[in-house]
Amino acid sequence: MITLEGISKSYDLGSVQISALKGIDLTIDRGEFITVMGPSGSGKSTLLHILGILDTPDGGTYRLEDHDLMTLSDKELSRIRNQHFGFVFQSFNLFNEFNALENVMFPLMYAGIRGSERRERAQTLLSQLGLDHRLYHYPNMLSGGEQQRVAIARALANDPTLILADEPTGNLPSDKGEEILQILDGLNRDGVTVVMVTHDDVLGRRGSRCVRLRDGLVESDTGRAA
Amino acid sequence: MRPIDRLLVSIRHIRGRLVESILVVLATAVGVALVASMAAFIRSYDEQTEYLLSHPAYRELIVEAVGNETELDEPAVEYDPDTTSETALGYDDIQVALDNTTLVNYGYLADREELSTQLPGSGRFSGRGMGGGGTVAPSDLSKDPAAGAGEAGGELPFPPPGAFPPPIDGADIADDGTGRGDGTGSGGSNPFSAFREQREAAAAAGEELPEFNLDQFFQVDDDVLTELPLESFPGRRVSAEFFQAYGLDVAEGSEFTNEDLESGNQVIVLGSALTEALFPDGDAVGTRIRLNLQTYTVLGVLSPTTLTDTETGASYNDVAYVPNAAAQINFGGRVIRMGRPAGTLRFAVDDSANLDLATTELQVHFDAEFGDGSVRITAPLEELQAEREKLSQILSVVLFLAAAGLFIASINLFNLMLMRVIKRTKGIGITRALGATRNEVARQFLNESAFMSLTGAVIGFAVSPLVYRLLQSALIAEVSNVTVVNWLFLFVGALGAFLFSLIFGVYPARQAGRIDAALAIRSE
Ligand SMILES: Nc1ncnc2c1ncn2[C@@H]1O[C@H](COP(=O)(O)OP(=O)(O)OP(=O)(O)O)[C@@H](O)[C@H]1O
Ligand SMILES: [Mg+2]
Repeated sequence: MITLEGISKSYDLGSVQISALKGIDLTIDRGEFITVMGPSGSGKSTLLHILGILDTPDGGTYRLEDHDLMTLSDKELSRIRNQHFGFVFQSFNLFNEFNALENVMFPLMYAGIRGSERRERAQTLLSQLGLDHRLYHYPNMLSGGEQQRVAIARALANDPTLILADEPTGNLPSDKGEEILQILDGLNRDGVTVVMVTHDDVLGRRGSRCVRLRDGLVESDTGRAA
Repeated sequence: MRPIDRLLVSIRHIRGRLVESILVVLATAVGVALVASMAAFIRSYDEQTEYLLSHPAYRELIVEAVGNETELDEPAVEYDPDTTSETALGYDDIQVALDNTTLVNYGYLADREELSTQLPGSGRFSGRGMGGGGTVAPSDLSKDPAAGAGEAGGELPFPPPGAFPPPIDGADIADDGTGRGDGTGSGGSNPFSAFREQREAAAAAGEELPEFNLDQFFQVDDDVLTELPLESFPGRRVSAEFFQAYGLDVAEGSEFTNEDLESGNQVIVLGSALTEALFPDGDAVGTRIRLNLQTYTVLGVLSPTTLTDTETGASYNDVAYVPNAAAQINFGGRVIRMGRPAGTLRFAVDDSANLDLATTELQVHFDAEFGDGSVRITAPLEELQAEREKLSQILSVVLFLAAAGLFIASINLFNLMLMRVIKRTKGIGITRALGATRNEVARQFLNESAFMSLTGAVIGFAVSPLVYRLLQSALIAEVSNVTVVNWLFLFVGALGAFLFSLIFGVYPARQAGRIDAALAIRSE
């Protein structure tokens, strides 16, 4: 599904150059549940952003199915993000001016879907995630676990094929984190590919494959070993 | 993203920052209102200037004897017949001046006089006497009319002090028998002299003096209308060339001629609207009416004109024209004709470009005739131009301030939007992750600023007529023509101001579109 070859990314801070990624080769197949681990600053988030084409690498190639993403326009890339990718973040990142239902409707809005259909779809997703009674709650009225579930509903709005989650349980107590993981597990069973960054060794073993980064390089990859 | 969704999102963001948004909207509204009303105002002002420059009153040259300037509101010198009548300008001087000049096209008399259908005491009665007499209250008239009529310096409404009793210079007395005009008396008898004889007889006999009865002086023939729908209306005492100089044509009947004037015919020519007001049933021409205690025969009705009085703004269609009686007085059935004084002579040119040269010609002529400096020639156009120059400068300053107001409001909008872009950096990153293009992010912000600009522009346009009125009363209260709001220019001004304010949302929106998504998501 995705092939990364020699992906590098460095940040120019004037006097110093920080190499966040120094040449990553990674192949992701459809239906995998990959956990990405590694010490702080090893480049996990950077890798995830590049996978989600929010960031562009300095070098290397990124192929999605048969497309070379380096050649696509902003409009085409945005459409891929909108239709095929779903993002889940550590700090939930919901829009505070909008209620749960409206937050979930955002990706549908960018897809150009009409109001009534949008509302129906968002409502279905939220109730699937057990938030029937929280449709009109604003983010600051929701618990962390509820917020993250709204965020997952938002990520799922356009039926993505790939979920990119950056420490989705990082801000949650372990029982709530477990809840989130169950949801991701369930999605993966339904055929959605999941890439999840985590610090938690226990959670790291819950995936079908674990990629460890160190200093911008892949230190180990259970998928390759297997 | 569909435009309606974009708008709904904009409204939510604006609602989230309501107070600062409202302040910026109001500032924009003020700027838009100022610019729009100034645009409309300047347009009306220009139109008015154009109109005034084409107005016959500004192709005029006013000639007055020095010390006898009746055009002044307050004479600098007390009126003193002994000194001021030294250079007495008369109706006869007009033709002489026209004969001795080449560029002057018209010469005429044109004095204002309110014409009243009322008898003194029964209503308002005010008249501006020939050559500058003031308003005389009814009580002055009834005090002692015999003395007034018989002795020099008496006060009567018709002639100014000093101009009566005639004759002064080359006056003749004509019987009112021309057929056109009409005295107030019946037949040949003069009720005035009859009363005087009566009084003298009583005095000689030692009897009680007969009581003065006003009515006997104002008895009129049966066919004379004394009751008219209007109590009074503006009048001009003119000589015949006034009609040519002002381009006034008769629609019905005829204009009066200088022969009418010289014979003292009591005739009147009416403006079109005035005719309709006075004679709603038609048939004005030939009717005899009593005005200012005199009987006039309606000689003609003028075609409608767009001219308005440059001083009062009143339409010339509401004005009546009577022969300028500077040359004669009809009193008690007798016409007393005087050569002078007439007070103010008026000359006019067809092309105002000739005004300067015509002034010189007239000056040379009058200096030769009466001695250097004995007459003063003023060109209303010059005064108008000086006044307009001053007003234009004031308008420039106000326009600058209005534009500055809009500019400051727009800068506030700019700052507010830039601040929002910075504050919403993380949100921008998330929307990009959810599928918004850079273009969509920019459009969202532009939509927000445009929404505020538009709201401000709508409010500003709504209040701009009020601002317009304010400007009007503050700037040129004395110019009465600029009363109609020019809606087109008000709208165009508001639209221009809106577009101007819109531009200030472009830069912040573009900045929002340029934000790097990955960086934005990492930001707090
Ligand atoms: N915008 C940036 N400018 C400069 N350096 C950056 C920037 N973003 C990331 N880095 C650096 O790149 C390296 C990798 O960062 P990254 O966020 O990917 O690490 P991480 O593995 O996600 O760490 P953590 O577990 O703490 O989230 C770090 O050294 C970080 O300081
Ligand atoms: Mg990270």
